[in-house]
Amino acid sequence: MTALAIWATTTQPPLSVVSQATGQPFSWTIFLQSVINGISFGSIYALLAMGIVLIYKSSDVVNFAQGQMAMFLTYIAYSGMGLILGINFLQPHADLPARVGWGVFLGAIALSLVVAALMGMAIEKFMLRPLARSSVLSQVLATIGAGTLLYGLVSWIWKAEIRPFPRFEAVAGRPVQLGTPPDSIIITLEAINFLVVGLILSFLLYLFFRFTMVGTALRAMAQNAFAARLMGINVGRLNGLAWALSLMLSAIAGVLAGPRLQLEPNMMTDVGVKAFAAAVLGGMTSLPGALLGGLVIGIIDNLAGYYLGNGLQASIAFLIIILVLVIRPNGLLGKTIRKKV
Amino acid sequence: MLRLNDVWTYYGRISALKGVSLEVPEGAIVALLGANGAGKTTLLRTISGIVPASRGTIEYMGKPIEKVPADHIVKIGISQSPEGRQVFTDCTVLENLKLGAYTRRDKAKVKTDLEQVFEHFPRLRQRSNQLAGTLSGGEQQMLAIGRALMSQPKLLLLDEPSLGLAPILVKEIFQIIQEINRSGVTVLLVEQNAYLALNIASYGYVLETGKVVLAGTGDSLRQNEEVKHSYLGH
Amino acid sequence: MKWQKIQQTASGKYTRWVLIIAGFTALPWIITVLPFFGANNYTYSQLNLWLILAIVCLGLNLLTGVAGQISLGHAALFQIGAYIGGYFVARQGWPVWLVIIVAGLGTGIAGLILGLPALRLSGPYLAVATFGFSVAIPQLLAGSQDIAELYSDPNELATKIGVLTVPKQNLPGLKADDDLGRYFMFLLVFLIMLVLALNINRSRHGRAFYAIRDSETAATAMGVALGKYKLLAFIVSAVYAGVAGSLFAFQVGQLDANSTSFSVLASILFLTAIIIGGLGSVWGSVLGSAVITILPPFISAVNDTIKAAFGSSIENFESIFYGLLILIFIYFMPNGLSGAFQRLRMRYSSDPSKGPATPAEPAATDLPVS
Repeated sequence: MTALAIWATTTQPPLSVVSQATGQPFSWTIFLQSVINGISFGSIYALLAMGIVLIYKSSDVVNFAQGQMAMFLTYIAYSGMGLILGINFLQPHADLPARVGWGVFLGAIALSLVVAALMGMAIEKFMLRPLARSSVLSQVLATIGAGTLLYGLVSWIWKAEIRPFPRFEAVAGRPVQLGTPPDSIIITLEAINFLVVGLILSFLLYLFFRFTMVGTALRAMAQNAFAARLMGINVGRLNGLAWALSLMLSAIAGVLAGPRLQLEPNMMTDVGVKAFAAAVLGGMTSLPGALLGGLVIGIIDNLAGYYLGNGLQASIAFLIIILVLVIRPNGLLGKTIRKKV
Repeated sequence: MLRLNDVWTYYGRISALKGVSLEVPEGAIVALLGANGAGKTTLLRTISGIVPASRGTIEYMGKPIEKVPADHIVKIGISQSPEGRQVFTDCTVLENLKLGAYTRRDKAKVKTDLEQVFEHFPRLRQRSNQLAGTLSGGEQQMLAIGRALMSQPKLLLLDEPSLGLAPILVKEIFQIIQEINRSGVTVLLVEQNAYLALNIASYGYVLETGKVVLAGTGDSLRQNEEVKHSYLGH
Repeated sequence: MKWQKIQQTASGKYTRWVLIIAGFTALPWIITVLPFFGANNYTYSQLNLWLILAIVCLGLNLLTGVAGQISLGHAALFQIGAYIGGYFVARQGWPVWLVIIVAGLGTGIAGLILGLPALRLSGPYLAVATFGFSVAIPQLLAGSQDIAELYSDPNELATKIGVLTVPKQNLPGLKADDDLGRYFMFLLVFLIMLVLALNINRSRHGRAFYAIRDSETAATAMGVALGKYKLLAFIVSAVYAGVAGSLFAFQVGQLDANSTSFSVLASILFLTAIIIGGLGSVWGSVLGSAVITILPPFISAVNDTIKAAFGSSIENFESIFYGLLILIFIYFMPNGLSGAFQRLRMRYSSDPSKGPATPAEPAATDLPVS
């Protein structure tokens, strides 16, 4: 064992659903199926990406631990289900049912959301506010340190084994089938759920930023924190709010994607990376951009996974992102970054 | 209404204010003159609680406020229109004005105050749904002042309202400042254009490298040889 | 008189280097005083890995600590160096010393490619671009059939894709498994890279790097050709990673493209090492990588104690440890170990000018808004 290998982690199974051998003749059905799968899981990327953008816009901090935080919050939701059902969730191989109903599901989400909000505010106040005047590198490494710590803590508390995450009954039904086999496209209710929840949350965020005073204040603060303070806006508290909202989005993403990804400390590593890419692709400062970026990454990811094989899947996604960035340094929908001198 | 006593402010190890004492009586317009870098802007930021005073006291309506955080300063009735306008460029004019009233909970009164601001600045009403970034310099200045008024201030701090504006606009803005003052708002006015400022101010202070070097009524300062020489261009 | 002074400083420098070289030479024997490190091959292999890590960190610190450019792609550069080194030794049979140079230069070109986005990107965007590099390179090396065919052994049909077996290299006449002998081979390379780093830090180029870090705008105003120096920083830093990578190939004997030694986690580990050592400090890189190398046996010892006390050990315990370590250094020792030593030295020395010429992080004196 080498000094470097101590970061040993299990590798994440690839996320693309279809991954048949290439070399078959081109089929529109398969292409469309890949795109639909991509859009659906892209919503999960988008939720995390919007969280990253929220934090970056409000406080100029890039949270490299968004994935790890989402992972932790998924464990919280899992434990919430255990609590409600009266099952010892800490015990290895805890037998949570394969499906849960509305009550357990919503209860678990509620718990996860509360923890997310408290955690977000605490991280902002105790971790990042003290670093407000430190270098970008310190801030980046602080979030990486926090992510690493969370990873270790989760492995400690829940053990690093893979556990199935209960499915939400209402979306566990028969998939929708379009067309007649073999030329049919199959869409699971779960996949529809990803997209619907993703779009609803994006719309709610839009309403929040457009029509509420606090949302407007958050936008104002992102534009000009100094003037925001002159308006009597408590900048620290609003940054905390942005963190809370960001982690709440991640908590929901975790619960949605849990059954697909399965519960283990590495479950969100790949998702976190893709979400980060999505945020940057969208321009890092734009919420619609992050949504678009998430969906685009989801699609590229699935198409590349199918046509190029899982080996090169992530490389292609990143290659495209780097190209986009070099051509449009502020991403698809981003505004020019204000240089801080 | 506002009394500063031996106020020192530091940026890192550099002192920007070196023991400033001054007084703003209720209902007055007080002018604060000085060259670039004299510490005028720092003084306003210190009063607003953006930069902490490391020594000295600031008294507002008889109470010490030098330890009060920025967001609370607005609530107790001190608001500022900062140097360089600093409007929220990606928000609409209306949103900017509403943000000015961020700390207030009396919705109905906010509405009438909004009308009041639109009366002072009719041009803002025409452009209320336009993004602030698309306004001209003069309109942005009006917006900055209007926004500061929306918090229902008793004391209004104005930082260089004439900066970069055409003379005709400057005249208009100064007239409005006098209007605002007549409606009962005390004004502390920082200006490089000493002639204009002393014209409407009842009292004035001259700041040099972080210290008050001269003080007096508007008229007496206008007659002062030193002020004439350095700030009035005679 | 001037000549005398020069002679004096020259001889002072000479003595210092004799001491440094003597210290490094004696290290394999000194280190056995530490717990967990006996006079055995394990200890020596840890020393070798330390020298490798130190070389990477010397380069990374030039880029990140000195020129202020974040790179999450250094593990990929390290990997490129390792594969170039491994390929030319294993498949082409080139002489080792030539291979080290080729690996350094080849990786330097990769650094140029990695640095190109830096001309247009900064902050989080640059982090993502370099991050992408870190994700892509292992995949290309492991997943692409064409590339794998380039370096895999035609006689060995059962080879796993992405795995390159390299005969371990050593000083002439020594056995391949003699890690103590290899220490001296690596030490020679390390010392050369160390002297280079010290010189770059003090040179005109080094000052230009600092200027970029402190303020790109100001650096441009001072006439620093921004693009040229950013690229230069990436290239130099990549050469370091490449040299270290080739040594890594000679040390471990088998390279696996998917190993965590080349993953983005390794990139983070490199950054951790320079944060612990001290940003911008040459000796800090050496110290920081020593800490990172020494820790694993201590961590597993702590975990064993936990197992003894509570019945089971903690999985991924090192993550807790490293997470805390990063946070502790960022919050309580932002200038790293070298900063702490420097402070001690200032306190106990009458001549503060004698401190190492390693500017700490710039003090935050900027105004809120101006």
